[in-house]
Amino acid sequence: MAFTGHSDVFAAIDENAINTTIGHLMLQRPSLFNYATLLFTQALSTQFCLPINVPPGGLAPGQPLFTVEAPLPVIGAPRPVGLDWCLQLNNVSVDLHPGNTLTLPPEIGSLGPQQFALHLRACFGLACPGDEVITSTAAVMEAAVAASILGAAAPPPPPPPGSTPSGGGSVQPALTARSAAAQGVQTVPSTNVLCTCLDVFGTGHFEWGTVAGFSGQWLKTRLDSLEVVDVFTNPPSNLEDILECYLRVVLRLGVLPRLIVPMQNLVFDITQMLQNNSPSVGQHVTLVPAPVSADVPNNPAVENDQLKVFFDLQVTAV
Amino acid sequence: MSVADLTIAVSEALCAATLEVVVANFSFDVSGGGDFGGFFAAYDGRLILKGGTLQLRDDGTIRLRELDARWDKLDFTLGLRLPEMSLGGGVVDLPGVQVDLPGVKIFSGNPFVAVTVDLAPFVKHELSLVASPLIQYFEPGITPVGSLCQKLHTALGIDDSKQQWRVFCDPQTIDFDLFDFADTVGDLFEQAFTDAIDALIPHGPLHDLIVAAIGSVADLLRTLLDIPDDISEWLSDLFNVSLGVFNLILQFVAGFFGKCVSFFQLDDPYPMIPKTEDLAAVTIPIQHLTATVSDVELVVTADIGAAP
Repeated sequence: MAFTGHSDVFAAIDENAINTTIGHLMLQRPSLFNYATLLFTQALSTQFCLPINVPPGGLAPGQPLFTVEAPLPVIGAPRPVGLDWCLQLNNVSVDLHPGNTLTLPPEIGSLGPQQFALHLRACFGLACPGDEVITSTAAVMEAAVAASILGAAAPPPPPPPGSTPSGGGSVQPALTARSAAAQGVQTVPSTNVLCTCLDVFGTGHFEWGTVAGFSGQWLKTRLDSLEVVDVFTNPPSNLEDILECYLRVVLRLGVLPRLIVPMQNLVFDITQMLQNNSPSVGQHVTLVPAPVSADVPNNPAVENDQLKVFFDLQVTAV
Repeated sequence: MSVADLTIAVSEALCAATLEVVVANFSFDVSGGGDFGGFFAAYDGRLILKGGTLQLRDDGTIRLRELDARWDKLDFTLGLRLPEMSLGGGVVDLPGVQVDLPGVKIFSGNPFVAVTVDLAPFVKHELSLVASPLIQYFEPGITPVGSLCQKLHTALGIDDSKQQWRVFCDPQTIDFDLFDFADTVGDLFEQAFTDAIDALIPHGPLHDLIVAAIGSVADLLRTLLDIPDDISEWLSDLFNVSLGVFNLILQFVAGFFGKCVSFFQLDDPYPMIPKTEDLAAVTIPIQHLTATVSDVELVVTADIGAAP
C-alpha cells in the first residue's frame, strides 16, 4: 500500500523522533520547561530543583534560561508580598499508540487507539523564608495595617534581595510585562528553596483545528487525562486533584499551545515552494488535511508508534 | 529494517503540480555571438517553458515528457561589412571609335550592414528526460557551485548560505530538439537582409543594372556569407553548432534538472521553531536523508540527530 494511496501528501514522524525533538527543544528553549521568579536570575540562581541543561556552546543570544513569573502571592497580606518559586518540567517523553515505552498508572489505564501517552517530572521549588525574616516582615505588615487604620504613612517595606538584578541570568524579553508585575510584588527574602518532584502521566491526542486570526488548519496537541503519581494523603484528600488540576492547566495553557507551530512546520515545509509560487501559475495551491473517510479513518492518526498526517492538494483559480 | 524518524511521501499528482510551478517560474536568458570572419552573428533571447507531463516510474526514475521550450524573445543579429565593388565601365570599342564608359562603384567605404530579426515566433523545442533523485548535502563554501549554476541560483533567488540537504532530479537521458528553422524563417531573414543591402545600392536608373550585374542581392548575400542553397539549414547550423546555443541550453537544462536546482531541500539544522523577534530558532539536526521513487509516489525519509 502506497503512503499516498488516499491522499496527495503523507507525513509521519516516529515516536523516537518526537522524543529526540523534545530533547532538542528542552536544550535550546529551556524557558518553555522552566519557570521561576526573577530572583532566580541572581541570589537563587543555584537553587533550582534541577540543573538546567544548555547546548555545549551555550544558549543562543537572547535565549532565556527560564520564563520569569510573578512571585506566589501571600494571600491576605496588607502589602503585596510573595514567595519566590520555581517550576521545572523534566524527563518529558511521549509514547504513541500502541504504548510500549511508558507504563501508565492504573488510574489512567491502558493507552487507547489514536492516543499518545505523556510522562514528565514536575519539580516545584518554594523559597521558604526563615522565622527571623517572617518576623521582621510581619512587623512591616503590622505597621502597614496600623497606618491604614490611623491614616499615618507606613514605613517603607524592607528591600527584598534581588529586587535590582544585575545580570547573571537571562530574562525572557517577551514577558517583560510579567516581569514588571513581578517586580511590583515584594518577595519575602529567602535562600532556602524547598523542592519536591512529582511524576506526571497523561494521555492525549492530536487533531486539526483553526487558530483565531490565522488561516489554514493547524495540528494541535490535546490533553485527555493527567495523573500525578505517588501523592498519598491519609485520609484521602483533594490535594492530588488540586495538583493535577494545576499541572493540567499549565500544560494545556502554557506548554502545548506553543507546540502547534513546530508540528505545522514539520509537515508543511515540503510544499512551501508550491504555496509561495502558486499565484504566479494562476492558481492557488494549498494543502488541506484529507477528510476523514473509510480510506482515511483517522487524520491525524496515532498508530504503529507514529504520528501520521494526510493532506490533499487543493487547487483554486486566483 | 528500522523505521525512519521522518517519512514524507508525495503523490505523483503533487509532483505534477510542482512541475507546473517550476515551468511557470522558469526563464533562462541567453546571449552571445561570434565573429566568423566574413560576418558577425549575435543572439539575445529568453527561453521559457510550457506544458509537459511528469510520470513516476517503478524503476525508480522520473520521466518528464513533451515539455515545450519556447522563446519569449530570440533576437538574432547578423552583420557584415560589405566590400567595395566596381561594376561596369571601361573602354568600349564602337565602329571607328572607342568610348570610355564610366564604371559604378558600390559599397564605397565598406559600409557595415546589420539586421536583427526576432526569431522567437518561429522556433520551439521539445524536451523530454528521464531522471532519478539525487541527494546532496550542501555546505556553503565547500560544495562547488559552477558559474552557470551560480547564475541560475541568483536568478531564482536560491539561498546558498545555509547547510542543506538537497534532492535533485538528476537526468539520465535528455532529449532536446535541435534548432530547426522552417523555410519561412530563412525567407524572412533573407528578405530583411536583402532589403538592408538593397538600401545601400544607389537607386534610380542604375539600380536595376547594378542588381543585374551582381546577379541579385540575394545571391550577393549568399556569396558574402557563404550560405548554401538552404538558408534555413544554414541558420540552424549557426545556432546549433557555430554559436553553440544548443549546447548551452542542453548544459543549462542538465544543470537545472541535475545538480543545480533542487526540487526539495531541508535546512540542516532544520528550524523546527522558527526564529522570532525575541527568541532564536530551535533547530534539529537532519541525518540520513533518502529519496526513492515508485510508480505512485516520491518518498523522502530522514532521521533526527540526537541532542548533544
